[in-house]
Amino acid sequence: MNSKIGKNLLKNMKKDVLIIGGGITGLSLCWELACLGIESILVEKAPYLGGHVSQFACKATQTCQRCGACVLEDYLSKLSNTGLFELHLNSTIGSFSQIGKKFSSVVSHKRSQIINERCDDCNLCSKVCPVEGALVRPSFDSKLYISNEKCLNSIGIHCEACAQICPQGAIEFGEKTKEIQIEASAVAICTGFTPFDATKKARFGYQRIPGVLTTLELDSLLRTGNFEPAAFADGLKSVAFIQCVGSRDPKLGANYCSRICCGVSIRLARLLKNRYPEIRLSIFYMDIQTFEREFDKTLDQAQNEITFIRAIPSEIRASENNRPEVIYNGDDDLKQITPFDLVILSVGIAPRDPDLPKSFPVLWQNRDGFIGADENDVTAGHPGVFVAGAAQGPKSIADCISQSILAASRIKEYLDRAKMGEKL
Amino acid sequence: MNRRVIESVFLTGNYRIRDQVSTRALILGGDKYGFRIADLLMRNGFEPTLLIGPEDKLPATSTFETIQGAIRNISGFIGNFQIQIQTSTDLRDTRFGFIVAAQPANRLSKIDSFVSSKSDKIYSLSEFKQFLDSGGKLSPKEDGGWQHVAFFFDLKGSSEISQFDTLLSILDRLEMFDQLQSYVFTRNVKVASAGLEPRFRYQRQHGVVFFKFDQADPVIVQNEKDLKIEFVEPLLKEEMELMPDIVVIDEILTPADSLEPILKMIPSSPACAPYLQPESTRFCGVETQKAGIYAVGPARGVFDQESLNADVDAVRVSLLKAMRGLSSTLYKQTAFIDHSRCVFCLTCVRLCPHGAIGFDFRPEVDPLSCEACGVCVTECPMSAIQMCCDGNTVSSDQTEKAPSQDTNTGEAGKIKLFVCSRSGLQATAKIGPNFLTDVEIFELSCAGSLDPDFLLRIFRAGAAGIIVAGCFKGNCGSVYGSTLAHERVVKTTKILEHAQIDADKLEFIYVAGNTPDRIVDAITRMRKRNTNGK
Repeated sequence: MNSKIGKNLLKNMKKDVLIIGGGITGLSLCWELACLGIESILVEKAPYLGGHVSQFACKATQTCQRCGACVLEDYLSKLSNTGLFELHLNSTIGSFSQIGKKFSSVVSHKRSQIINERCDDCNLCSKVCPVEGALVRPSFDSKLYISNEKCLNSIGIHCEACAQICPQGAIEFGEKTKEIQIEASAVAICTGFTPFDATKKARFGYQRIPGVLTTLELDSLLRTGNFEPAAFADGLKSVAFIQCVGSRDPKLGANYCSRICCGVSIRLARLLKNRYPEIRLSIFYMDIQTFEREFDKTLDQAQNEITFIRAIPSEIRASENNRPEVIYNGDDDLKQITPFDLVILSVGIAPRDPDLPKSFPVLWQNRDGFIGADENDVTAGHPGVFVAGAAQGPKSIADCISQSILAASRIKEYLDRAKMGEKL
Repeated sequence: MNRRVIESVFLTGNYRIRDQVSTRALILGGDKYGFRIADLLMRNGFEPTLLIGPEDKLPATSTFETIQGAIRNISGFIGNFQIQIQTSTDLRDTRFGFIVAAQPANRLSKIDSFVSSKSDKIYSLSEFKQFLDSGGKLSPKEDGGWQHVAFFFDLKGSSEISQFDTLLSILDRLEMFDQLQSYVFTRNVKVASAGLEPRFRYQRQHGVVFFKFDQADPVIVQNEKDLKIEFVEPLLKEEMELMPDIVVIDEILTPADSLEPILKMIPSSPACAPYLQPESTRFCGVETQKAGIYAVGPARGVFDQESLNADVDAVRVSLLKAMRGLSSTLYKQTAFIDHSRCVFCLTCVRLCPHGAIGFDFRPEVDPLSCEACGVCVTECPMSAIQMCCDGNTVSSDQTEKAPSQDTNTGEAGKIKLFVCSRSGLQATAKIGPNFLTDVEIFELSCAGSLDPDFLLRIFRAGAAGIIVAGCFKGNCGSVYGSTLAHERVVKTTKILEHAQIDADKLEFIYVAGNTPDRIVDAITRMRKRNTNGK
């Protein structure tokens, strides 16, 4: 009697691939799969797509510096025209089980509470919200979202301050969580990375000394347009970048090179030089890694604009007028103390806990603590489960996309074989 | 474009109406990656043919066809390339659907930049690897003294990370020889690949001496018998000498020379030569700007093993994607040439960034290769090209109208914003509609299709200002579309100045999909100018 409705429901929830994580890797994988005619379900924890990349600024000076941040917009607009995937924002994987070659999982939706179509961006809600950071704007050009981790309602405290003040009636409180049963033949983990926590390197004074920021913070300030050199007391005259913070450091458990930081710092430094030509720029480094082809040209141009100092500072301390001072071993093996207006710590890529339920199959962990094998491989240690992007190891945006193409290829192969097996 | 392109294959092109798409794929490449791609395509229903160089070894057993030879000439489009292959015995013409360039990298020796004549004590990195591979031994000296091996890496030009990988594996092997000391003279240690950092650390802790130079490179002095390295020790700043028994110098990796015939058939290739793929993050896979041609590894500037492995699979994905595209009858815009207007100037043939226009008695657009960027539409001096959904079904009275002559010049008094669908459109979507009330948006498939005549007509219709937003240089999906648009805006500005119309009402800006602030700034500037002018 209800078979028809039941069938429809089941059909809606059944897709070929479950993609966990809606960052650049998850999105490009979704696109590549769609191009091959494979349907997928994309589950993203945050209320918006794009992950870390959505916070990155365009680093073009007069010419493109090939940072790749804008490629995200490309994928978002391409995917919005594809009907081959289902999107669950604000959702996490609740439980997980496997029957034969089928995975089934419960995706729990936390209800997104701002209805974007009605919101006119008046920002009244952020003014009345009692919790800082409960209303988030991933970048200045994006819409406003309610962070379900911080909102009082999600921890069980009743608060409707924002809904009451909203003139558009765009904020709605519905059921707290909604659970959806889904089924898929393969799972792709694209949960990305977590930036190295710079407070672990206490002698660099991060969050202790004003004027010490991480590359991600600078990137996000540039993206949101909140980077104001005028805010510095004597103007912004000198900026130092410190490389390998949380990379190539076995004592901190990172016996690997994060691969992206040289590119990030040099691009950011050149962007600053282009915008504020009077700034003096220094990069403290161990080794500069090749990050694009015809690298000599890039490095020559960078060396004209930036002073490269081969030394990793021993300490950053606050000077008398509360500016950061970098202490390092300079020329002739002498201790040098140089004050800067701004010190940028080029933080490395650290593995991130993918936040999967306990019932999820046990996955490989590679030598550096990321998911999967040691090589650039997308197998995660369980048949039908794949890993791609920065979840597998430190990667640039371009490398994340290349690996998601590899993952798409392997997933197709796996699905084809699974289908053959079924027929037999 | 330059002369090279004019003389190239376009004039001998062989355009035929596509009746059938060939599933044959020609794979160029003589090393294991070529074999792996051929094998993978074989298993996915394609018919691969491996083309290897005259010095490469033929595979012992294989399920696919292998030819030893070189490409003489290529013409045609995706699904239908005509390729002339010169073998040792004959010259054959074959039809292929796809071309995969997977040749191993060209290794340019750096030895010449250190010494004028190469002695037998100096090896290049690959020569030394071969020496060890073939069982070469470094036996201790007769007098019981130590042997010294010096490696030069990343000096006189940056080296690839894959070269450091090779260097580390050589150092691993040298460990088994007694009384041998290795030194590495380098500028930067390149460890930005999986597992290299611990391997480098291991070698440093096990006695290999690494010198990192900032400015002055070490110098090799050759006497009649001996080799001497003179250098300033970078930490102590002291002059030092080393008398090595062997010097190994790394190499510069470049794409294979045999890419030349393929580069010749893509008009926009001078922008990325000697590579086959433009250096832009829009190209992360193996696709190039011309449909049906794929660049693997060295051909796209990628040399490390991990990326090469990914590229092998990317070829499969790209070919499967292409086949889906070829078999579908999706609504797609392409350029269409009105042959009654064409005067055979071949501007379109020489300018199409995607190599989608060929010449066979008359210029013809390949609808499958056309990316609808519109560069040809604007550049055609006879206005003989226009964009339409399906070139074959356009009726003649539609083409009677002068193409691309948009009659809709929009509302007077508004700021006109021209955006590229690949960058500006996405950026504009992020700006609130309240800000754009006095702005009218014109979407271009690529900034390269911007028509200067249309700009002038808009001015005549009374625009408050025109802003043209193109992709940043180096990020244009049609390689030089945005550069062409910039040039046209500069030219139009000159015309306006000449006519004593406010030339500052026309502005060109570079944008990306994530820089809506640049568009906002430009609109604000334009508004200010307008209010100040009044």
